[in-house]
Amino acid sequence: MTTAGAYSQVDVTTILGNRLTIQGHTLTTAVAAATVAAAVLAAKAVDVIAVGDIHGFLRFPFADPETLEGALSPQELKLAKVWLTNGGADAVLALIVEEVKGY
Amino acid sequence: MVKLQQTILLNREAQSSNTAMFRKDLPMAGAYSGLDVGIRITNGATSARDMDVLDIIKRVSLVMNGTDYRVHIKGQDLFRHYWMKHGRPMPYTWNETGGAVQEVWFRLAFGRFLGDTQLGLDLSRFNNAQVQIDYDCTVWGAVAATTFATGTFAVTLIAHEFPPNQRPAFRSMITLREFWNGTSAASGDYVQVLPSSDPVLAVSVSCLEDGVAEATDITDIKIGEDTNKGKYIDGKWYNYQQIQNADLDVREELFNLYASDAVTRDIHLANIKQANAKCKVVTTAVA
Repeated sequence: MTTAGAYSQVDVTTILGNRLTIQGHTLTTAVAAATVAAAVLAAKAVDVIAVGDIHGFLRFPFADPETLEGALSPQELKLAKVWLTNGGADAVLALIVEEVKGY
Repeated sequence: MVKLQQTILLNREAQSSNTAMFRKDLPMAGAYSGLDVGIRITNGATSARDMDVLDIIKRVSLVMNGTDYRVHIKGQDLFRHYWMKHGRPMPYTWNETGGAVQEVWFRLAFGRFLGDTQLGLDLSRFNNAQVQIDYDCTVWGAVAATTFATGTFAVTLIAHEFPPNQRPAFRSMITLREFWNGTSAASGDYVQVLPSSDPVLAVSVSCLEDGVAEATDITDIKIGEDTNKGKYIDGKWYNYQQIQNADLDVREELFNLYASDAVTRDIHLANIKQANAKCKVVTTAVA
């Protein structure tokens, strides 16, 4: 070869939930070398783009966003509860409410 | 429609402490339609790998008169909530390169939309209104060249405000607060009573565990009265996720990572349809 260079190739090889596993190699050529040397990727700048659903978050609107009709009234809320069915341990959970507070 | 003005209350004010409760009193008078909160932090000289700035932000709160929490929510949840409600995320920059700045923005909305004259935050109704940000830059260890540079957690606050001579008489404001948190179990149900003092517009459920498939930790959700007739919501996490994410305008994230072979990164998306990585640097030398 007449050109020396280092070329890194990376891929997202595994996806589990919101977790991406990135693997890569850097291929190095040397002047007049007949072969290409490969080494695992080490500390390189990498652009990543991912497309999917929002991780771990659901929102249940009850009110019309413009008129606010349909909001759960304090009368309805007297008996209202949230049930979450567990299927696996160790997730961080939160219940979040959007309310209208009068002046 | 009244033209709102953007009032800069704080501009990239660096905090000397790496772990603290940031507090900023809002003015005694003002009619806010929304409040934008910007957070920046600078990476250490080498890099800050696998460190999501959202994990630093334990809670963002708006507290009235010392004890009345009108906003109170974790950084991870606040980012996701805006994205889910509006279909697109607020700006978020994840750059792992040494010395780079990571940044995220939040918007606290007190009305139905920016410029709402009926719902909003009237500061004159309170003796004190305070923004609080509970943060911990040492969540992955002490500040260092491979974490964050010390004293670089910086806060920006920008109010979307009605002009002083055109302040509307708000009748109420929209709030956003976490009313329960916990850790999922292997089985069984959690049953929580909904707050009942004020009308409820929406309920959100956050279930975060990195590296675990969606709908694993919480499988089913019900919201409603404790009778068979009165369930407003009753179904599977995976079905609701498909329905809700169908309305999103933006379903992608971009990152500038600093990666080695066989590393993992935990992002804010799941059920990932596509993920690509590309190395930014090629070095060549002609002999």
